[in-house]
Amino acid sequence: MDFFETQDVARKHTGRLVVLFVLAVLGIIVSTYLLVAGVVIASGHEQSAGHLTDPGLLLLIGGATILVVGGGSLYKLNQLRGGGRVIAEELGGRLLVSAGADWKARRLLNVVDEMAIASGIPAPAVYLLDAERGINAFAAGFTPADAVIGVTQGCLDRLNREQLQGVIGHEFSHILNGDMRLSLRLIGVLHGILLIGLLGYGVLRMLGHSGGMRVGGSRRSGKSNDKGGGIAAVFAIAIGLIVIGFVGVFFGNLIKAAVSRQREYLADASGVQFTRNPDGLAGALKTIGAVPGGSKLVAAKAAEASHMYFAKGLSSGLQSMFATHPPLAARIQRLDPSWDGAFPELPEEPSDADVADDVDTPVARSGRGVGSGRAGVAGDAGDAGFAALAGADLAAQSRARGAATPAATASPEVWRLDSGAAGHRAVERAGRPTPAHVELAAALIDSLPEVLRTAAREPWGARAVVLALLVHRDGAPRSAQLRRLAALADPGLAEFTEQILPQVERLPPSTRLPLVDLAIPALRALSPAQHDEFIATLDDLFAADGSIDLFEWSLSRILRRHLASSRHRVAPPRLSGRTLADLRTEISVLLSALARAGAADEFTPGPAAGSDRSAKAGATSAQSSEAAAGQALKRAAAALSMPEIKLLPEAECGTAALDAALDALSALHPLRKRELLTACAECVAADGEVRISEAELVRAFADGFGVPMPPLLGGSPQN
Amino acid sequence: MPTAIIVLIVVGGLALLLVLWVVGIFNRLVTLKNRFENAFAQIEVQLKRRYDLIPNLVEVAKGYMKHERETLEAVITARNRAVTGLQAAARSPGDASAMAGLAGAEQALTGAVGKLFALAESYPDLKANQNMMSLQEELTSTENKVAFARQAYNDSATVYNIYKQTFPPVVFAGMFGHGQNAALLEFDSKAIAQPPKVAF
Repeated sequence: MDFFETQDVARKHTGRLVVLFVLAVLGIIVSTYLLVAGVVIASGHEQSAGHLTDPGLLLLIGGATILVVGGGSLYKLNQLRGGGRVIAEELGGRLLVSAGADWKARRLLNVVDEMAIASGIPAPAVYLLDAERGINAFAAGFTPADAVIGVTQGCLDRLNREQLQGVIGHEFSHILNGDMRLSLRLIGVLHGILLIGLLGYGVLRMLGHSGGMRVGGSRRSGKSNDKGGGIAAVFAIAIGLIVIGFVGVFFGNLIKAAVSRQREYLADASGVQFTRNPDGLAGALKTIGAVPGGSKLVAAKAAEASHMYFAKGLSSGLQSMFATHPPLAARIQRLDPSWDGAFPELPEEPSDADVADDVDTPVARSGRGVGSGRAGVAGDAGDAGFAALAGADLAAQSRARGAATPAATASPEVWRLDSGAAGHRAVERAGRPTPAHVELAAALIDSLPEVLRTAAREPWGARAVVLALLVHRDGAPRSAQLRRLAALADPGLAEFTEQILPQVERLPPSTRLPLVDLAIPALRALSPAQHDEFIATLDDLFAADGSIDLFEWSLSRILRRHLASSRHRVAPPRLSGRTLADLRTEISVLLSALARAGAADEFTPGPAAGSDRSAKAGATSAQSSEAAAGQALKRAAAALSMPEIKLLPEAECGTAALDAALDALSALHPLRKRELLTACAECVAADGEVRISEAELVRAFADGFGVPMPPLLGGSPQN
Repeated sequence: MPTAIIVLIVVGGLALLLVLWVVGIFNRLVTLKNRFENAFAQIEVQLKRRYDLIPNLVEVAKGYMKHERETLEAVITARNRAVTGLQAAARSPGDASAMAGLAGAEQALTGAVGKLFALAESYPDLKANQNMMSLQEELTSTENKVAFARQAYNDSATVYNIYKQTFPPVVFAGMFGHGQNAALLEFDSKAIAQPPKVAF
């Protein structure tokens, strides 16, 4: 089952969830009715017992229940529209941006960054639950764009890098499989059901309060008989509400457990696929079993998100029925069949000296886990088409790493495909990064100059990194941009941007978007005012060179999408129900832009190629590139079986048209998106080579669709 | 009796709406508090970095400035006070006295370091020292980062303060333990960024 099918299944799960929810509400209505009947009969008012069959009463109870449950759920769902970080903040998470001197935190961020680049998504925000000693983690959000990962302090303290990677891989699979949205919805739904019980507790407390006053105050005995009966009735109803609330929670937990458990196995399995190192994850699970506190969470709000955690966060009495997670032993057994069932001796907390070199250095990393080349990284190189493209590069990459040479610094702008490329292979990789991708990501991060790497991870410098990426290499646009920068940004920032400019310009083109991915978590930490100012500066720089090219467009598109979640509430994407045929104009725009990018004689992706756009672009070469673009488009149209898709003139597939087209297309059904992305890949592959500009464009498209595509172009061939 | 039940249900429904509304205010307050505390954590990271750099600076300067022991000691003392101030502030971000304490300690440190740099002007060897130059560079950029993080913190603290002073929340803020405004963190951070020029 590939990424798009899992998305589809997740949607169907959502449907099933709604059905179960409706059943739970019906159950609550019935039990409320029975409760009312019980109260009426017990209170002995025979004459009113007749009203019990009154449909009006049932209607009233039903209405009130639906109001309460619906109100509670809507309230919570609305609160959750703030995205994953709402959950992280509720659980007491502290946002980790620049980790400073804390090597444990830095290691965590490194692991997350590697995994993010490997999966082709911007690094998610990482929250540290520093009050939690148990070993646990969670991922929350609607889409990769607003996803956050939460990790407990216990996780940092107790796990080694390999184990941490296993845990993060597991969480990434939740992000990439689209499980998270379902999980968030569950929280909202359960909140409504839970509310009835809370209401009961509230009434009870109020009664207790006034009752206490009565005892202490002047009690007028004798007269309050009738009133006492009323109090008793209210008391009974309060108890009743608690009971009903319990019924609701019972249902809710059943739903949670049913939806959650299977996905935990799935996440374990796909988490291992990313790293191809079951020992890491198994080791983490074993450590949970060995540590007294295990995976327990103490935060007051821990219960409502219990199905989101890496491992069971709460102890529950009725293990098998309510457990949100499969038993630890069963999970370990699946990962490590040779496990003898004994948890290891309580591992010592590693000392700083042991692991100090474990944090950043590639050499340390290649000695263990990922870099050791276990389980045939090269196996992936066997894949034809795009995967092979990445794979072949990776094989070269890992050879280079084996010899402890740093990753390549020079990278071509064009990759040649060996065999007839099969676009669907690339698309199959969506949401399914391989160990090769993780290794590539690690190499890529290592290859970045230290100054850029550290700057990207902290709000002040991250802005400079992004701004520097936009500055043209030379010519009039460059000086215009630098002038604007000096005028707009504060002096320190402008100065720093110019200072890192040479290093940014020396970067291999394939690392440009990944560098942005690294910078995004830090940029999310900007305050609203700082965010607006930054976006304004960006827009100004985009405009300062007189044109917006496709790299600038991709960059701006990705930044806007991912930074918006830190400012505004995120609306979970909705399906428009439109078909590919309905959107043929938009598809034409998308594919034409891509075809032209691939066929351009001397395509100039922003700062990289500069302004030497060949002055001698003679009629012949223009014709031949027109023909090549047409050829590429024809292949894409064939992949979609939509021959009506035609190559649009350049003016009609500009950035404004692209924006509109992408917005419309992002509401397509996941399975349609797969077809479309496959067509994009076919279009790119038509001429047997992949340009960096094409790859960046495809990445922007995929990002707009909410599809995490591992980097099409891996690192770089060594020669 | 059914009328009583109807009344109860209606009252219950209204009470529920009220409860939801109040809970919403409560949650919003908590969220905004979390935001500014998170923003403070960013300042903390950068200040820690700054405090880690200063002993190195003193160490390098010591080799050249034999007769400036007092100045050097003043820098170290100020630095240690600032470390304590930061710890106190990190325990309760937004607390007025902790913030004032940190700001005061920071200002003192900035003054002491500024004095050190001013004196360093008369030691050409020290000025030309590679370590000294890179430390100075690093301090400046850390200073920029502190200022930027401080701006972010002050922004989020202001959002929190404004929210809790608007009408419905103002009624409940005190009750929910949000009585105090979050104190802003202000200090003049330009002194290190541009070491005073001393002409001879």
